Amino acid sequence: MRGVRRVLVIARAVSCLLVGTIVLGAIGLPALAQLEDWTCASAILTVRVEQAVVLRILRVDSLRDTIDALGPNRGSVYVGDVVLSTEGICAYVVLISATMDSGRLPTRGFRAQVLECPPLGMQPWQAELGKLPVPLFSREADWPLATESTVGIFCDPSSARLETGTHTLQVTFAILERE
Amino acid sequence: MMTRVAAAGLLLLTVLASTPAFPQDTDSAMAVYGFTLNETVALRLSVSGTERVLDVRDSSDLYLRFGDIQGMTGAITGYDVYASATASANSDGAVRPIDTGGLELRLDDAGFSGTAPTWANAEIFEFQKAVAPPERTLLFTGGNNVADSTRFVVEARVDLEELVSAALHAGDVVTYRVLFTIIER
Repeated sequence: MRGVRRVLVIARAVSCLLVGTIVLGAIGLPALAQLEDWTCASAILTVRVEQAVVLRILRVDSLRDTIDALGPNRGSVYVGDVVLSTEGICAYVVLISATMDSGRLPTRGFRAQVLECPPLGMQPWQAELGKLPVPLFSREADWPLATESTVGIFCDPSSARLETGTHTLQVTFAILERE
Repeated sequence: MMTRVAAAGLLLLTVLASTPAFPQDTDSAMAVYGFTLNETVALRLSVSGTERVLDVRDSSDLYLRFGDIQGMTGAITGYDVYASATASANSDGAVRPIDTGGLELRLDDAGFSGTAPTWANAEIFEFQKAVAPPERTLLFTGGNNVADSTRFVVEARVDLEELVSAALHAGDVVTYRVLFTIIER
């Protein structure tokens, strides 16, 4: 009888062990199934900014080859105009400078004025011409659309005090990125 | 009488010998193979045309296009593939994060190949703005327990008008990191 009881006890223990294993497995498998596997990879793309601002002179129009100090509008004679194209991926300033007769004569009495331009960001819209570049106008970034500006050149003969004869006014435009 | 007893004894022995109550000798052997599943989903990328130069003198286009990003998924389960992106600008050695900088992504529907069933997000067949982590854009789902790889192609471009808002200067370098994530479903 004792032997039979021992066998029964062992059999019960084994069955409990089996049931426990099955229950643990049933609980454990769904938990494992919830673990997601994931991985990632990345692609690197770069853009290098080569030229951030550009200025082009599109046209030089209506050049007046004679300035008559005694003519009409003699206080402010319209010399001509220049059409500029500017574009930039940042804010920029357009500067202007000039020389008279390759720098031999002063440029006093000459000024540049922005006649036509999309909305500007900064004064002055006009500048006295001289050897040193001075701001003419500035714009905020609006690239990639190029903007055209018409800049008129005017002369006050009484201030210019030029001698009678032929003179050459060389106007230079520059564009600078603005911080 | 003796004969009957002997016959009965012989019969009893025969019955006892043939009964299954007697323990029989049995034997068995089992071979067990175990393996560990490290990865159930995998993603590989190859990229070309990753560097572009921005020059306002050539600014006729509104977009700057990169080369295609080619990807390949490997899975033994169902999965989702997502994309997100970050951007940073390097100005004179100083790196500053910018928003996604106008980066747009598009899944090329002609670039799909593979026998595994896939379902693509229809919206991403048109250029969509890339989103920054933790957000992500679903590109496609696939696999469905078919252990087959799927190839896909993603086109990338930059909307230059949006890039301008990052206030770039000559010499700056903008770096985009496009992150593709594959997640087991």
